[in-house]
Amino acid sequence: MIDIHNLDIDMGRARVVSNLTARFETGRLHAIIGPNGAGKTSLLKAVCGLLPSATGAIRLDGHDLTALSLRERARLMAYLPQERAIAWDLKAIEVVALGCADLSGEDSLKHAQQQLEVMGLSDKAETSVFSLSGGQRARVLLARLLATEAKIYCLDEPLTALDPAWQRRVLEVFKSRAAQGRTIIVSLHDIGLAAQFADDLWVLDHGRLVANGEPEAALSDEVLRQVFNITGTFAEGRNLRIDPQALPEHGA
Amino acid sequence: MRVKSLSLAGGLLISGLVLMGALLIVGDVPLSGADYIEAITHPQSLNGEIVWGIRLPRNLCAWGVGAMLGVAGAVMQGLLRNPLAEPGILGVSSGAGLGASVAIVLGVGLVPFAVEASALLVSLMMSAVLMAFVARFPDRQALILLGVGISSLCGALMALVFNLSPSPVTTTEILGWLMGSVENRSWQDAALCVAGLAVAVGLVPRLRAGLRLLTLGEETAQSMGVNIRHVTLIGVITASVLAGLSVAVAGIIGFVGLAAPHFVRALGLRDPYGVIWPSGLAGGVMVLMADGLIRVMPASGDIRLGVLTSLIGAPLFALIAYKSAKSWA
Repeated sequence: MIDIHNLDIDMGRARVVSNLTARFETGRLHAIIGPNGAGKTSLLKAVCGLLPSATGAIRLDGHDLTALSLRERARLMAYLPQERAIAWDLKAIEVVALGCADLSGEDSLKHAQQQLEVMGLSDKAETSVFSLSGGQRARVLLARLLATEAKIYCLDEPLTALDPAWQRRVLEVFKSRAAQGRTIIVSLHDIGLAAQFADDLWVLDHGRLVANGEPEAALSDEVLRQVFNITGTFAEGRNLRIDPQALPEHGA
Repeated sequence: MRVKSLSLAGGLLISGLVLMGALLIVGDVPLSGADYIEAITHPQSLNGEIVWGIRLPRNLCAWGVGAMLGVAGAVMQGLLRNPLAEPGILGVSSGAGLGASVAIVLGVGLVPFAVEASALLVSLMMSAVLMAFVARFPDRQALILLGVGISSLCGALMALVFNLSPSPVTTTEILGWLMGSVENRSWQDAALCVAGLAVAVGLVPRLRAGLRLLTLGEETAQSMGVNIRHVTLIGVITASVLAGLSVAVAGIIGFVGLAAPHFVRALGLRDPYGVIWPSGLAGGVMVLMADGLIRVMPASGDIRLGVLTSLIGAPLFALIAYKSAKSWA
């Protein structure tokens, strides 16, 4: 469980997250949504302890985040940044094995191979990452994240470069990890997928938390209109149908 | 990967030792088999002095300088995640060159070890500036900018030294030293190489997890428990000490630090930590080969080691740049 209390984040002179208080419960998939510049990435980085400029309290299972050593944090949580750069042309399995910090040699490679299978890349283990497509590379990095076996996974736009089938598959994988007792926090741009897969939605706008809760509750007509400038209705199976014909003027 | 790394390192180490042994028979004075036996049985004899006092320290310095540059190049490339990085990017080599130039202009060039000591002193001063900066701003872009700044400043001061040089003889002496050579190097110079490599043996293992995880970027590495400031500081200390010592021993030897890690990668090693020691061994072989070439070429007295490595290295650099540009297109 992650408790955030009165979180403020400044980037230069701009305040990108303002007075945010939230609790991310264990065993649930939390999706953070909001327009560009809403503060999603900053919030994720702050939760992972990557923003020294963040003020306020963040507690992991009751422990103050700042009191934990880097190693203790790394054992508890794993982070997938938005940037997908891989500097050297390693084999896919070598990249995934970077996530197995506590394993060595054969065990590390065996564990990495299992995560590649989860991401549908078992036949690409020996392929150099520079030879893979953008989507395959993104899945290799997701496999690296899974390989950490952390209790908390924070993913920043993990569906970028993935085809629709793999977007759903990836969310299913992390949903099942949540069901195993992990905490998943994922920032998404696709509101429809967020509504379908998330247990809890956190809607940010201009650095402020404007709504949270189960998707039907969080994505009220008012939130859809004011934050996303759209209208929509929920159908069966949390299927959010966005009405492209009824786009109101911003702020209406 | 580990087996590949070890077998490659083993092959390069044996190549270096064989070359070092072979180059003991290359020199201005031709020695017969009997002369070598005398050199071994009577190290104080003239032949002994030629083998143990001149050729062996020269070979050790060639190998040691190459090894230091290879290790420093691989560390810098891993740290900056840039295949075009090399030890000179920090500006420490220019600092060492400035120190040597000042010593020569002040007329202490004839005092044994004075030029090396001056080069080392200024390079350590520049290293201290870098370390103080990295301790506060561990950002790789900022590090490159500071390195360029130090390099430019030392270059300008060197130009000033040339400008104020009392005689053309002194200017020629500085130029000759800067163009790099391991000729007439002593056991003290070889000891500097050993000291540099000892520093590397102590520090490089601390970069293992950091350099590997930096492959995925600073944020991922940090989230995996890597202290970026710590890794950057250790990397900068290692590379700057090695680069400074290499210039103190042999002057500016271009392109070895850049090319050695690429040579190792071309043989199949990609792990940014795994390439470090093989790059050092490859650097040693490269400088030994270049020095051997100088010794057997007809105009051997006229061509400096740094000039030859640059002549071979520059086309390689252009090829790397071309390949990189193609992959970015």
